[in-house]
Amino acid sequence: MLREAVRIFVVDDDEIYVARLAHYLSLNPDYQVKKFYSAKTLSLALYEKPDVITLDYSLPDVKGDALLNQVKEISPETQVIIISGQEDIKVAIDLFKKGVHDYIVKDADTEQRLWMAIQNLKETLALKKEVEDLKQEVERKYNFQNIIIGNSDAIKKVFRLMEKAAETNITVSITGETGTGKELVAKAIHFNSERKKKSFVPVNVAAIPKELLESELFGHEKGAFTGAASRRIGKFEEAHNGTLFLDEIGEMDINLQAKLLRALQEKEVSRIGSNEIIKINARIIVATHRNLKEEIAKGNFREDLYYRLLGLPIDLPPLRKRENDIMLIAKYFVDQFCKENGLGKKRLSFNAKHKLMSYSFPGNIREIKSVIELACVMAEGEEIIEDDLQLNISSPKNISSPNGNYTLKEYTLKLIQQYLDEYNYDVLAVADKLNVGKSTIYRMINNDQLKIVKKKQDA
Amino acid sequence: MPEPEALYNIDALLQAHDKDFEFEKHIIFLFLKNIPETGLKLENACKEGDWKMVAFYAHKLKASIDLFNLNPLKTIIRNIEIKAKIPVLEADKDCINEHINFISAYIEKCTCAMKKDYSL
Repeated sequence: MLREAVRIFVVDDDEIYVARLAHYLSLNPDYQVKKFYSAKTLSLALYEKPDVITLDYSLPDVKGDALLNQVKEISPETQVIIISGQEDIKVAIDLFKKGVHDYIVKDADTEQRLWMAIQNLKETLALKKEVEDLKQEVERKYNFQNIIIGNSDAIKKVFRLMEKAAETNITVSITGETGTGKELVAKAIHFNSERKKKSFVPVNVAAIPKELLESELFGHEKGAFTGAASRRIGKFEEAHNGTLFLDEIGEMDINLQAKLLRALQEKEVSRIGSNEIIKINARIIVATHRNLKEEIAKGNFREDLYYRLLGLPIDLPPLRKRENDIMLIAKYFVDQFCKENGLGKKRLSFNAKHKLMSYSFPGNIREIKSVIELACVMAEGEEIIEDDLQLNISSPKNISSPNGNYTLKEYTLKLIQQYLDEYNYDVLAVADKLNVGKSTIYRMINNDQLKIVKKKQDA
Repeated sequence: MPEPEALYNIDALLQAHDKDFEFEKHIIFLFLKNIPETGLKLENACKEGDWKMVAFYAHKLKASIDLFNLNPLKTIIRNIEIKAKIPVLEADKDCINEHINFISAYIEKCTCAMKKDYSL
């Protein structure tokens, strides 16, 4: 690809033309020009992989075809511009089919046209490079290790399943609470699979009115219905050879489910208003926060579609079940946000960490991310303290997911212990929060052996 | 009386190259070095009846004839290139030969003029 200077090889057995073109191109200080008078000398220098070769197609020592093939083989990214005395349009068309960038006839304006061609080429190559860089960035971004932070057993299991999914074309069904990263997992599977060069097409079923969803998925022909002013390609077609991600599949209208089932079974679609059958090769990934079996029982979801979509199920654990990961994730978001916003290095104080660990994060990753980002903004100095963390305190960890058969007394003790931990054993604050007298709490501390290990200072 | 047309004209070329005198001298030097030689090769190919090479050298000369604006030769050289590519008729052979002699003579006149113009 293009470096700072554009390296151009001018090749012609006509010394006058070489001198003419080389001199003209050298007027641009960004162009580094080398002259060649035969195919043989050019062949020896092809390993230098120039950005552009201007080539006389009728060199006496090697046929133009063979030379062009050699260039494409040794330096495939080099762009070839043919400079020829041949004014035959058929020759030019053949050469374009062989992949030459431009064809310029030798005449009074050759230099100017060559100059323009190289300028255009420079812009095209710069754009191409930008696209390549962005593609690489996306691949890096969706690398499994970059996309999901954590080393808990629950998340390691998810990694293993994602790897298996990426290796094949199996349909994947992702379940998990809101904010657990279902779309990110779908993207990671796509960008780590052989389909990564093709499109990842996300469709949020819940976000599209049910009347429009059919057209969105399958496309329509002009005039297929009122308002169909032009032909529209559906998401299935867009995802051909790539991945179609149907988010919130549980929200799909039961009538449309039948059409979706047919498309998945037959691997073909037809646009609304058309009889044409279009073969589709798309990997399907679906996600939902609903329990689809329950939806089947309620008659909201087709059982046959459920089994067609089940494929490889990946259940994303909620954050509260990934205890070891909370701090890793929090640190990752602190570092990322501070870096992106030029805030310098920040760290979580001991109490801040404790506060995070005591919270259930009903909004999962999405919630911890926004909590951390706000904390980074609110924090004074390098340390994020517990007051910087704006948590929805009505969701302490064990309240939202009571498990075990506690008595009312045990449950009350557990609740108070949790708040004591959270408020650094500030009895007055806990009493105020729970709207009970402070003596009630002291009594429980004395009689029921609640733990008081007040931290003197943050770690 | 109108001025006779110059044998060659590289004004447009020099204009495009910022009237670089070093480039001008170099391009004249390359003309003197290459064009008479290619003209001779064209003559020899014609004498030997090697029409493929006649077409080849005509094609090579065409670009320089256009570049130096050797106006009387522009149509002639194209005719030679075309006629030499297809099976050459007996009647055309003499005509091609005559054209090539004219080209050689013209190139000779040009080289003399250039040597004089550039004191070479």
